[in-house]
Amino acid sequence: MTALLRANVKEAAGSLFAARQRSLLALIGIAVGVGSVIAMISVGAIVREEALRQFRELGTDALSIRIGRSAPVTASEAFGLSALPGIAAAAPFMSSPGEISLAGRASEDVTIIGAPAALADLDKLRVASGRRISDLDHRRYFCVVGARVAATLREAGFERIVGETVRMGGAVYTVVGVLERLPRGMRRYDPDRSVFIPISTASRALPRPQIRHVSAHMSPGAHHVATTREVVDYFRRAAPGRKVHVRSAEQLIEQMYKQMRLFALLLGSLGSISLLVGGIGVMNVMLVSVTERRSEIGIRRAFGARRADIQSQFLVESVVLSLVGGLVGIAAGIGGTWGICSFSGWTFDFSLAAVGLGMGVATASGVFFGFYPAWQAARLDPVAALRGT
Amino acid sequence: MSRGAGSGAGDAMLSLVDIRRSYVTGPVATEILRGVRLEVNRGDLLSITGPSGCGKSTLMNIIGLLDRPSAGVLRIKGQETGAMDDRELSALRNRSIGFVFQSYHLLPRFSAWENVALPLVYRGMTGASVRRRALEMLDKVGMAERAGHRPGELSGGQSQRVAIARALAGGPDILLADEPTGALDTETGGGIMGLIAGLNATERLTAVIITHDREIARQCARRVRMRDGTLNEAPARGGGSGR
Ligand SMILES: Nc1ncnc2c1ncn2[C@@H]1O[C@H](COP(=O)(O)OP(=O)(O)OP(=O)(O)O)[C@@H](O)[C@H]1O
Ligand SMILES: [Mg+2]
Repeated sequence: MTALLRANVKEAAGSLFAARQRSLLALIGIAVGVGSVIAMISVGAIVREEALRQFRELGTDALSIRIGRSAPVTASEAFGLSALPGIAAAAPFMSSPGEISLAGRASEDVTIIGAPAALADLDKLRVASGRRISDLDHRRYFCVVGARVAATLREAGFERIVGETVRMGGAVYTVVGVLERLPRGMRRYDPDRSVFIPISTASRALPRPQIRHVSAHMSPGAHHVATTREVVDYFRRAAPGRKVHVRSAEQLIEQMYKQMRLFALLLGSLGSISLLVGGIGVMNVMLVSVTERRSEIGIRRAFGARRADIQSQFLVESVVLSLVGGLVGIAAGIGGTWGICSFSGWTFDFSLAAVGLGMGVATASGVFFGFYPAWQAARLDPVAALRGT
Repeated sequence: MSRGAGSGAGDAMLSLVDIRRSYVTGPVATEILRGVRLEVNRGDLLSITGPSGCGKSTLMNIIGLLDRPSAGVLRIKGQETGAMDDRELSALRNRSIGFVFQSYHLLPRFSAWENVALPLVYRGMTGASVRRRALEMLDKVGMAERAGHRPGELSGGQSQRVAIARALAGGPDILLADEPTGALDTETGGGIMGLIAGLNATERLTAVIITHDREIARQCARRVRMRDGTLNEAPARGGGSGR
């Protein structure tokens, strides 16, 4: 059986190479088809992974609220937000661009965040060394620096960041903590490039001490659309014309899924059309091959090949053809997935399962579209085939 | 005609009883074979001659199990073939029949030895023994040096020798040759016939040869002529019989 199989594969490669122009067309179809299927499956998996990561990072009940510049909110107004039935906890914060410098040796552009202690809980700001800002630091010039900021300071030669004094906007702060490296997620600031100070300090030290952001978590069971409505209404009670933007994790994930479904639809239709075109190409190549090799079929039959042997020989050929297309398609699919990920800002990843699926799809289309030509070959009358008519 | 089975061995390789074959083209059915009877015994060297279009190749295809008769009984080594399915026919063809064709019919992409291996491959043989056996057969027909050559690199006579090696590789009961010298010049053709006659003499190879060449037919101990869809055997002569 192995000798037979090897002989068949050899024969297949030879005859497909001889008809390479026709084969190429079929190959492209199969390659695009397999590539699309792989990209479709991979993008789906990546988006699910991305959503899961989002969930792990801040939870799906996170809300991020931004108020328009024209009418910032007061601290009591912002804290009052948690009285809404849909809101479990809320932390307003001030945010301002600034520059941090350490004894004139290192400097870095940062975002200065003036926030109550609760923000660290709501925004999952984990400390790598030192401690967090506490509400007991009222009006003190203490700060916690993000991981990137700490790295810059460390490069300047300061081994222990905690305990050092830094200068920001004319004031001198003592570093009390350094954050872990954190992904941005749906936060309104990049934690790695931020410096956190007490909100009471910020209202005195920042050039424009306005509360324009609130991080919040919804109550268990609250729906994000209804809660968003509540929040907007709440802030407009004091100032009717106020611009209020609410972003929820659920809404973000929903958008991501929506985008994924769009890609899936696109890739799914591209994939099925190309597979069909490629498959018909494979069928065409095989039908021509059967016609051109009638005498070969007759010869094989004369020396003992059963109909089943001829059938399997031609099936092997169409599967080989499809698999070659499939290999190209796997490369294209992985490349396409990478492209979609960098376009959408998702983390690229690919699984062996997708490669296996690609091979499976290629094999299946080889068998499916090769079946009819192989059946034609098998039922040829050997006498007529030998005569070459 | 029963006297045709004159070798006395009683070792029937082939037995045809009242074989008929008609072709239907449009509204008319033409009967090409009209009751063919033939017994071929082990070691027989038999020629079939007859005018072009009389049905020699048709008969050959029926004997070789590539075609089925419209009526009649065909036995190969005593086995009735009428009720066999494709699987059984293919297996019997693989074991019992060795074809040689006028136009060689070698597979162009295969080397000489790979062509010779064809019947072995369809027998399910694998590994080094296939190649060994193929080379053995090529040696037997004097083509050992050309084992790796493609058919395109061989002359007509060489191609036909390779084809004979292929026909014999599976150790068939009967060699069926349809005008094996038809595409060759007289001298080369004589060499091919000499090879078959030699194997008949030394190894008791049973062979049925269709030919238009009287010189070829003369070398066969049994000579059969086809006319009007039936066979007539000429009286046996002393010559190189397979006794
Ligand atoms: N498939 C077919 N359909 C219809 N008629 C056929 C078919 N095959 C053969 N014939 C007819 O059967 C007759 C016998 O053909 P066959 O090939 O057996 O002749 P032959 O004796 O081998 O001739 P030659 O010596 O020229 O090779 C011819 O008249 C041919 O036209
Ligand atoms: Mg003929």
